[in-house]
Amino acid sequence: MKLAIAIVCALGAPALAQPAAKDSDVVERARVEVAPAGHPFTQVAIDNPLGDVRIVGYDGAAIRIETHKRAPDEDALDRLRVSLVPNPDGTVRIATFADKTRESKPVPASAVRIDLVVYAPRGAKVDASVIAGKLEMEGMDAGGELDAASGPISVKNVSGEVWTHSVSGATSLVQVFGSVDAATISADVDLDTIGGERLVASANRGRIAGRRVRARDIELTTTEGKILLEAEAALHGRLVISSLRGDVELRLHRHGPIVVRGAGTKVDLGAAARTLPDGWMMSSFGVGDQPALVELRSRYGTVQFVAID
Amino acid sequence: MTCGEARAKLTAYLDGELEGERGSAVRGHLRTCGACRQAATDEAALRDGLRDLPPVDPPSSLWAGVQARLAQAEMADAERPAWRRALARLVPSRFVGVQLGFAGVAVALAVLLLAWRVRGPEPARIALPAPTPAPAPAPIAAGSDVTDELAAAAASETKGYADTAAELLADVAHERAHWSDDHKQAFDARVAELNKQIAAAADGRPRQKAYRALIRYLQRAAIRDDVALAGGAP
Repeated sequence: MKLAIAIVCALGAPALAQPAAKDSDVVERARVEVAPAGHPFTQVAIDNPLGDVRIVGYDGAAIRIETHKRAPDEDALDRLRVSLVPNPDGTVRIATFADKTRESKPVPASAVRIDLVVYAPRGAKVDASVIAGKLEMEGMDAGGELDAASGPISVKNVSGEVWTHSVSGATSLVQVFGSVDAATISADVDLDTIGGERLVASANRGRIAGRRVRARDIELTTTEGKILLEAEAALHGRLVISSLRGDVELRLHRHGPIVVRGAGTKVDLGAAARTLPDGWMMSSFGVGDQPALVELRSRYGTVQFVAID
Repeated sequence: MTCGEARAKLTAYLDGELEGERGSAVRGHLRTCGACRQAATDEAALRDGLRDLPPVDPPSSLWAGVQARLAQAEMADAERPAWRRALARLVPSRFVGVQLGFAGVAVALAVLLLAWRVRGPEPARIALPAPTPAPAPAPIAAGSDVTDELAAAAASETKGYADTAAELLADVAHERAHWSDDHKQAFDARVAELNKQIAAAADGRPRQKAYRALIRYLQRAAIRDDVALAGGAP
């Protein structure tokens, strides 16, 4: 049974002037707090097609939501709704929408906006989506899935499994400890200080740049864009970095033996590299059982590898 | 006739513009030179492929933008004194120069793209499973409402995924020429399976998720033969 509580956020002071908004705009700010009814909140699902979403983890048990609405007039502002539905299973669903009735005067999407800041218990998993707004998550411990059409995605100081996907919004993941799967179509992916079992990132028409990355299983793929990674080799790890038309460059800090294979229009694996019968270049660093395996490939681009002892 | 001379006349030859002896000389060279014959086959295949491409409908926002710029230009014209309008008719303005520059760059890019496409070993006619087409976003009428625009945005997002899948399929087609028959079969089966999942998925995020699975598989297949060979999960 759902505790279908639709809370329309009209608790704040209406018509507050905002410097960022047009002078003629009507602005409304509100704050709502929902305490768990016995069962702790385990998941927060947010769907905001009308603006930004920022999710911040904190040490409390309740969920606090700050809404900021903007519209050209009172009638349009009245149409902007935020629904909040807490379920007994520990899931909270927050959704925004523009109400439409026969009497509604048409208002363009560019003239209205709802931005949300959600303070959630750190242990809750996040499932959030936006269209053109910014989507940010920070300080959460159970990971989540973030989806944007053209808005940028930012994940910072998060643990757990994280999935991000965006068509044309730049994606940035900083200090993520857990498995990561980040995908964009025509935008860049930036990775900084990533640690976990598995890291998968792909971009079609964008580049992938990573630094301070350490994962046992790393797979980075682009179609057009360059891949530049500075990583740490995990013992017995596997790194597969591939691009169709982009250049590939890997700087690897090694702690044990590694074997590197590379293929591209121009391949530089260091002075000790040799060419294999299948046309690939290969180079080994250090001696020992079960080395970390590195495969670098670019069909129409160059490949460069640097080992850092 | 040398290879260089034959290549220089190849486009005109394929266009049927070389008559009499000139056409005969190119034809004769192609009979004896395998490399030029391959280049002619590649170019002919590319032209066939381009001809088969569906027409692209520009988004409604593009036309609105063009109209707005035209209106701005007309208003600027109206505000200019008569002598400057007369001068502009006689001397191309710097903006015309910029526009010509852009047009030149666009033509150069098109030629480069054509050259790049022709350069590689284009596979002979192949039949790849086509990805499920995404529904076209409904056009947004003037004075439309936020609810209509949001629905169109969601459809446009799905279409973005579908278009990318189609582009990657073309990339795979290029690489596919080097695959074995088993390899091709495994790939086709996997793509068919992923297409089925797209068709079965509900509109919106579930369908976009299914497209993402196809895109990731195609991307890997275009770059890494081993993935397509295994036919495994992306």
